[in-house]
Formats: sequence, structure tokens, C-alpha cells
Amino acid sequence: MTNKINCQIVTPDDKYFEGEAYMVVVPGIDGSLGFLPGHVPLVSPLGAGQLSISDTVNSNDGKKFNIEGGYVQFSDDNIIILAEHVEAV
Amino acid sequence: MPSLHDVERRIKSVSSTRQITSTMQMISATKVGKSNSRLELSQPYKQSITDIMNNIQSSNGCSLLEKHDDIKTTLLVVIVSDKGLAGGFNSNILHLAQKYLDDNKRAGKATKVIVCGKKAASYFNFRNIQTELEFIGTSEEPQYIQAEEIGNYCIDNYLNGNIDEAFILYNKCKNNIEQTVVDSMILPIESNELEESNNSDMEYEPNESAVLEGLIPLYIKTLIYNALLDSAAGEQIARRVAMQNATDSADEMIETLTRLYNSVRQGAITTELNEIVGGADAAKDS
Repeated sequence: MTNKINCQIVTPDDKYFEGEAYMVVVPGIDGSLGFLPGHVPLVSPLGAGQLSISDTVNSNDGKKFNIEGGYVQFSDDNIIILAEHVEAV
Repeated sequence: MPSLHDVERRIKSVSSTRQITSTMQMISATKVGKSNSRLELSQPYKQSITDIMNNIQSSNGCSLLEKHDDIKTTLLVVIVSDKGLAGGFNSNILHLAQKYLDDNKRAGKATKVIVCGKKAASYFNFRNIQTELEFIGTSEEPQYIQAEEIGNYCIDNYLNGNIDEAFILYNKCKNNIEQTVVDSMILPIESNELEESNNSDMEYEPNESAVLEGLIPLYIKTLIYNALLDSAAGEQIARRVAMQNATDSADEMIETLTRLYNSVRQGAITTELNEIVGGADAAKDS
């Protein structure tokens, strides 16, 4: 098992971001959801807030994006974040 | 026999038309690439949403999937272009929309219309048919926000019972030459559209039906957005083909007219020569 997550942020217009990361933290409906490699397959709606994609366990290191709701799908170390509106911070 | 001057004037007018049509053809040919790439870029999002929808097994309890028992009002989302000169692109869709209106009228059902594109707006306004929403000036470059607005209108009115079903009519690009007219139901979502698949180890947070409930609006908006993009790409393709045909027939016409021009000119020269020879003969005889 590789210890990286293949991460994609997809918007209706294009693939906004694509890359590898170690940890992804997304704003869930009831608080943040963190994903590390090997997480169980999961689908969840997202709330408005900040999304971070980082190469370490410290989410402050990584790239940050603001999203306004959407969906996250995690399976086999692939994470797809579907968001109608994304903005890089 | 037309006069030399008349023929010349016609050749000039056909050539200037030809110049316009061939320019429009080139412009559309460049825009085809741009619209097609926008359509392609929108596919991953649509695909992901459809995948998640397909994976969800239980679809009960979601009001957007349930059919209304009594269908009294139909909503049509008609997507055409802002500009004409694209062959049958707009009229195919508008004929289909008119057929829906006529059929529903005969069946005693009401029809509401949302139009995208100036051509549809003027079509319905001319016939005094009231439209619910109008989007003008966006057919070449539709934005997601437009799909959101249409989607929200559909969902809100479906939930509060103002509409009982919704159809979307648009041109889908079949390839780089043809479009097909698509007439598909967006509300209620037909459950056979969603293939059942068995990815049962997926977890849903908080639960399956809540995920589905929230996902369906996104799915509907995505369908609409995709239709808008498809129509935008189709418009350019249709225009390119129409303008190519126009340029070809202008070429043909110029050829025929040039031939006519030459024969008229030759006729005039022959007549003049005859007159000179005749005149000279007459002068010699006297």
C-alpha cells in the first residue's frame, strides 16, 4: 500500500486541482473530516469551510482551498472532492 | 437576355455574401474547439456525481425521485442559440417544443417554459406564450450559475407541486458534423437511468438516503449544465456546417453567373461586329 492519497478537486467547469497528498482534511457537515491513506471507502456531503491538502500530518503545511459545500468520495486511496465553488486561499 | 451590367451586379452581390459566409465558417471553426474543450472539462464532475449516485442502493424516501400521481403541469427547459444562421439547429428544437405545447393543450395539461437563447425567447414571445425564466446572450458561453438557477427553479417547483414533470430539450453533439435533438426527462429522475451497481463496502456519512437527498440537486444541475455546454458546442458545429454549405452554393452560383456573363458579353460583341460588317457592306453598296 502506498502511503499517499491521490487527490482531485473537481468543479463543474474543470478539474480544479489534481495531486498527491498524505493527509486531506475536508469540512464535513458536522465538523472536519480527516483522511489518511488506508481510510475506509466513504461518501459524505461537505459544508462550507476550508479544505486542506498536505504532505505531512500537520494540516497547516498544506495547500488550502475554500469551498462552499459539495461532496467527498474516498475509495482505494483516491479522494475526489466535488465542489460547485472552489477558491484557493 | 439580361444586360451585362445586371449580371455583373449579381456576381458582385453573391461574392460579397460568400465572403461573409466563409468568414463566419472560419470563426465557427475556431469556436468549435473552444466549446468542445469546455464540454470535455466538465465531464469528470458529471462522471463522479453519476458514479456516486449509481453506487447508492436505497433510493426510497427521496421526494425528487418519486413520481407525482397526477400530472397536470409540465415544465420544458428549451435550450437553443442566441443567433441564427445555423441551419436547422434552432428550428428542430422549437418544433419539438411546439409539439409538446400542442399535445399538452389537447390533453388539458398546462405547460411552463424556461428558455435559454434569444431565438427561443422571441419564438415564444411572438406567440404570446409566457416564459418562466429567460436567459439571453449566454448561449455561446454558458456559466454554471445559469444551470444552478434553472435547477433550483425546477427543484423548488417540483417539491411544492407547481410542476409535475420537467423535460429538457437541446441539441447534443453527435460528432463534429451532426447534432441530435435530445428530449430527456430531468424530473422526476427515472430510476432506470441510474444503473444499480454493487459497491457495498462504501460507507455513507451520515447515511445513504441523506447523501442521495443532497446529491440529487447537484445531479440535476449538472445535467442542465452539461446540456447547456453541449448545445453551445453544437451551435458552433451547426453554424460551421451551414456556412460551409452556403459558401459552396455561393461558389457554384458565381460560376454559373460568370458563364452567363461571358456569354452575354460575347453575344454583345458578336452583335456589334455584325452591325459594323453590315454597316460597311451597306456603305460599299451605295
